[in-house]
Amino acid sequence: MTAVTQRTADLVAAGLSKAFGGVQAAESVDITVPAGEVTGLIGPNGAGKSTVLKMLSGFLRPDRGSLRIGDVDILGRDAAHVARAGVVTTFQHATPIGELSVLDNVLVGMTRLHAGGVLSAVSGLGPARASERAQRQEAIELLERFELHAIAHTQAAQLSFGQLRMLELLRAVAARPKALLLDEPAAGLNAFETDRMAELIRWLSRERGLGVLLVDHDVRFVFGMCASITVMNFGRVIYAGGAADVAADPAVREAYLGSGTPADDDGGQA
Amino acid sequence: MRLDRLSGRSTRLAGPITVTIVLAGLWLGDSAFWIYNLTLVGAYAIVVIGLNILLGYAGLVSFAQTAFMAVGGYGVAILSVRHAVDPWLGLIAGMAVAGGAAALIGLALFRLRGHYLTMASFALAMGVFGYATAAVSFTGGSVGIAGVPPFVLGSFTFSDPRHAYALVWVLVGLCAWAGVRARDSHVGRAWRTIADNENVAASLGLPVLRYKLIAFVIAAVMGALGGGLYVDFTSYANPELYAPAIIVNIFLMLFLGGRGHTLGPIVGAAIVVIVPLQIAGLSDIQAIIFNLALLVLILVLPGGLLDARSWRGLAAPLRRLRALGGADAQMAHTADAELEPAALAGRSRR
Amino acid sequence: MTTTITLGLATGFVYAIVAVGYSLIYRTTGIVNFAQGAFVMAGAMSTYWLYDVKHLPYAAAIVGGVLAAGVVGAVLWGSLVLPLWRRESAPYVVILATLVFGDLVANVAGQTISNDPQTLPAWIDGFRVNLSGASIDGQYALVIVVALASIVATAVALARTSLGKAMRACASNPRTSQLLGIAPVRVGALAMIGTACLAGLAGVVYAPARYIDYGSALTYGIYGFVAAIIGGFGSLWGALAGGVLLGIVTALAGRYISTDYQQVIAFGILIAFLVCRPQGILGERLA
Repeated sequence: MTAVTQRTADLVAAGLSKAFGGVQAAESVDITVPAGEVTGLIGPNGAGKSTVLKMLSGFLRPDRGSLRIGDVDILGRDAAHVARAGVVTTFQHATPIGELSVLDNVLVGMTRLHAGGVLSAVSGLGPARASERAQRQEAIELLERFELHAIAHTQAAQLSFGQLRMLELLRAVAARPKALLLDEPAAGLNAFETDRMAELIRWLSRERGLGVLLVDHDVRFVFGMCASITVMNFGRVIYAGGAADVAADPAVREAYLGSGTPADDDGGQA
Repeated sequence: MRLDRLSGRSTRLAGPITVTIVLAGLWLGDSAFWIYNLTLVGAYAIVVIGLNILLGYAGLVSFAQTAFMAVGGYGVAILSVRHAVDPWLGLIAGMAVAGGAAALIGLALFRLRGHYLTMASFALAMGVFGYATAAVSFTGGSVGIAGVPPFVLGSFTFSDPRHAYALVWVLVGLCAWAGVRARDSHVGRAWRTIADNENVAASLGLPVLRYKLIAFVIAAVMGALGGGLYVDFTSYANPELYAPAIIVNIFLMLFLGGRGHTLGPIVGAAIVVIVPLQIAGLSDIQAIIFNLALLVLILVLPGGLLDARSWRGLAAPLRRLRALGGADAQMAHTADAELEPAALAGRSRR
Repeated sequence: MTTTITLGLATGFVYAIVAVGYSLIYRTTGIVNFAQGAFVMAGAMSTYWLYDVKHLPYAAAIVGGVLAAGVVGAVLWGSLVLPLWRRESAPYVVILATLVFGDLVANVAGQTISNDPQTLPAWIDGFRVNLSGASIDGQYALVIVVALASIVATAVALARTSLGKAMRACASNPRTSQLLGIAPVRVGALAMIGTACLAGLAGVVYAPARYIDYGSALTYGIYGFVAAIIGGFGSLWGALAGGVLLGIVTALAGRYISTDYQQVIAFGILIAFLVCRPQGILGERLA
């Protein structure tokens, strides 16, 4: 692991470990998601990626290790707490609320920042009204930035799958995170939608300064987006470094292509 | 579908306006039967509005509305009859106790997932009923407490049926309005998210427990309000008002009108209270009929009478029967497709 | 004291059988069946009707009562639980439906068979048991024996027979079980009907000792439920432990405090467990 000077909103995890019964799903995993960069986490099936993702997002409590976002320690905290500290996750299955409009779904992401309680919201007195107006404005601007404002009032249940995935990401962004953990954001998208998704993610890291962690199977997608990549296999980190050198790394090759010494093989096919 | 959007906007005011006109008309018509019974309907409607907010908007199941009704009802009765407290204060005290109790109970139970809350709420309702029957010195036992004095506000006396009617329905309107305002606010959106997927709510930093408590307390307070109004209007508190059969009745009212629909509680309460009165000689098998009605509803029209989708779901098998070939089959297929759950499985829809 | 404890023990075993029903159905189908108590009442009331009204020989009436309870279970399964299960209705809708169904069965029994409490003849005439100087109705002993035997038989069946193994498979993973050729629907139906028959038997053997009336459907349903939670929802031996414990505690409470407060005390215990130890004495956490 190369040492990185810590900026205020880096997500830094070290030594994360988790065992289920007798199975060590993750062992001493170090991973850093620097602010303003897109980092990749890849590995074959069962490598432990989702375990690590759940530990980073607060859905799973690590047995050991340390976890910080900037200066804030979030080890062992639950998902809501982690999210309030600035680490927001999206899920593998599209999860916008079908009955709500696109705009309302984005607003859901902003709820924790909404002023006023239920009495203020119902009566119209107090801070809720102004907060609602401001949030609607911000949500519409976000949708406009990604040319989705035309469907702002469409029910989410009527969106295409690609649109749903974009909405999910925008909702997460609306929560004003410092770090974004994306679980296979491009899964099931066609080429055009994948490009749009990639553009959105790049914009987030560049313009908004978010640290983005991409957990994915689609190695090409990850290579195209990420400055640095962490590779896992059998619960451990087997490579962490620049994207350019990943493909050549022997440990990575073995993990993806199978073992077999060069002397025995004809040409590397397992 | 176009029909949905039509029914969403233009009938949003049509419903409440119709209800207001009907209620006003009956009030002016001065029929003792309607004025008396619709007041009872109104009291129940408030209880069911509370349950609708809790279950229909926030997705939380509670069988405990009767427990909170009892707090309101006995609060009014005990304080006004035994301690000569103004029944208004008794009502407010009952509502406060119900809200406080709900907050504490929620804090203890909401951290448990799954069926536990449902079961605990049922236990609470049964426990309160058992206590009301047993604690003779406090609640009067199965005899109850009679002679509850009516509310008096200046020249307005609750014992005059027309005043009671007006008061109750103003309160129904207030509760329904508050429910709609909450549902359309950030609180309602949070409720919807929590009901849909708690993990998603947590991942966005929503304080899930707080929003659940808000819904639960609102439901409890409305339950106590309805219970207190009922007792004061009928001047009599007794445990049978909070028996397990009443739990069934309340859910019947909610399911009849439709969970999540604004006017659902009113329609449901009206049907359950008024219809048995119109059909003579039903009292013995009334319970059986209510049981059957609720079961049939659950099976056949789960969205309630006001839910267009449930009715179409009913019609789909009929359409299929007619369309045994040709172009009609196409129509039947698209009709069924409308009723599929949301396109979150990845299919796009126009 | 001895009488009270024996009474509590016998009643507790009936609760235990109901609790076993709750747990078994929950484990194989994920459903909380609030109609479980109605099966007890259905068995006893049907036996009463067959014996007192239709004048069948007592033994035949007993068998008929148990079968009738099984039929009620089958009706519940086929008309309500299965359609809702298939439709993937929200769990609380199914729970509500079973609650309403149980209420319906009780009300129908009250209307068609008898509105008043009824009793049945003792199984063995003049059978009495002497315990520490007190003479106790031998039927209580029969209740304990029959109930205990039923529970042990159920445990053995679950452990040894292929059906029992299928049930345990469905309990832990319905999807995989389906792939392995086990039909969760059939297993669920058998769980429902089987526990209904057991509950009916419990009602039939208990009625001669005390009485049965249509309202007892709700009472047994509730106490059995409390017993299941106390012992550990989903655990067979937990159901037994919970039932016995609850039976004895409520009997003592009824004798030394007041019968009026029995239900309240039972619920107090339930709430206490739900708050402090939701997994009960022997169970694993639900969901």
